[in-house]
Amino acid sequence: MKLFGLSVSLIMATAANACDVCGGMSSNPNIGLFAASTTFHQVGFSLNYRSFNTFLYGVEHSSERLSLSSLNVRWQLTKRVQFLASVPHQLGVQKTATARYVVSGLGDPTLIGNFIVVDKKDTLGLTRQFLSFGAGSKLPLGLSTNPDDELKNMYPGTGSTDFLLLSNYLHQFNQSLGFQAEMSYVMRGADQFAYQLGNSFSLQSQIFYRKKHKSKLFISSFGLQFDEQEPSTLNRIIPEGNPNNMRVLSARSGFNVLVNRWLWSAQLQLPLYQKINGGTVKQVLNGTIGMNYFITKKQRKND
Amino acid sequence: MTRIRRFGAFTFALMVLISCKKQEGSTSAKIEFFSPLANDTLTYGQELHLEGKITGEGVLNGYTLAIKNATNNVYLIPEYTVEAKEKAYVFHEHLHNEVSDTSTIEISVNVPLSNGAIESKKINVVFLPQ
Repeated sequence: MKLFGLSVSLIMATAANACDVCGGMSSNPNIGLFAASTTFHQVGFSLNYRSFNTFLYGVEHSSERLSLSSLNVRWQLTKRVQFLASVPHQLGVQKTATARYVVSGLGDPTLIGNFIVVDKKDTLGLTRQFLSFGAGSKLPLGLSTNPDDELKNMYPGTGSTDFLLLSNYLHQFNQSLGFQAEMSYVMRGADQFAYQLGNSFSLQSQIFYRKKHKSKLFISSFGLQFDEQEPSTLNRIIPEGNPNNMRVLSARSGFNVLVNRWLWSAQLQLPLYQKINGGTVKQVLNGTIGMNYFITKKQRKND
Repeated sequence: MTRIRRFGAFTFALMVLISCKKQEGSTSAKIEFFSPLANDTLTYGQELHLEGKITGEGVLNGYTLAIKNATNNVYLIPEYTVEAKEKAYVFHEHLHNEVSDTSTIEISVNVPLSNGAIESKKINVVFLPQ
């Protein structure tokens, strides 16, 4: 039962850039619905698939498919402090009427320190209320390219050091029903070409429902997510034509199964309203599947 | 069970009917160049950014595009054909000026129409050497 006391599941850190024509915008990293198991470490793998269509003069010019696989680790240092790390690899494919382009490689790793302010559990070890604040950085170690590259948005790395702040709140109303919200802000740095993606804000909230059946725990969730990214700049000036900004409101739903120490997750996100890159890019689908394993943390005296 | 089968058969028939609906061919097409403008001059190393749109009154069967150095008759982008059936297309190419002599660059787009005719448009730009 202690295992069900929630834990960080996925860190999804992806690239988002500017280009002449093409899609590829993404949300901020998030630490997800399972955000409060302080008695376990966690290691996992996630696969995120996003598809876009890009339009030029109102006519579809290309389609973009981005598959991001990430190795995610959460290390519970103390009861109040946890570290999260994610190393992504991305495969990007763009198809036009005449060509198919593939960009593949390692993305920028993300490191986050998460500080737990409130962690109220009931007598069964189930988290009733949880609040954490995190800070982290995305390092420019992944494959990236110059701002003139038409496929820049398809690259797994941004070439910049970014800093992020995030907070995560969870409230469990009863044994079954709960609410979770997460907010994050990413401050983007400039790359070696003085190209700088705009800062981005993300807010997501969801209602979740847990049901235990024998040794399995099922958790389904439904909610909304809002993402906003400011325009990019080159030498601190917004480039003409393609600001690479976005504002997206999405509906999201997730389904998780916890069996023994294995957590299997699936999440789907569909845009309700979107304006990406001046309306020239439309996101079609955003889905993630994940697999995580919980490792029992050795208890310390001060835990 | 019979109801389900009937519903399935009806849905299948409807799908076949919709997918078999004949789309009208186009007897005219509008070809627009948004970039470059005719007779633009590009210095050595500068990038030619080609963007344009083709619109038909009905469904078009595709188009061909080529970029040729008309001064020495060498193709910079050999003629290629897009065969998708669409009511509109956009074309989009990039090319760097690397000529050794002043050259006239010819950009041509041809659109075959349903009546057998071909709608064509050409524009010329000038590439300057180093």
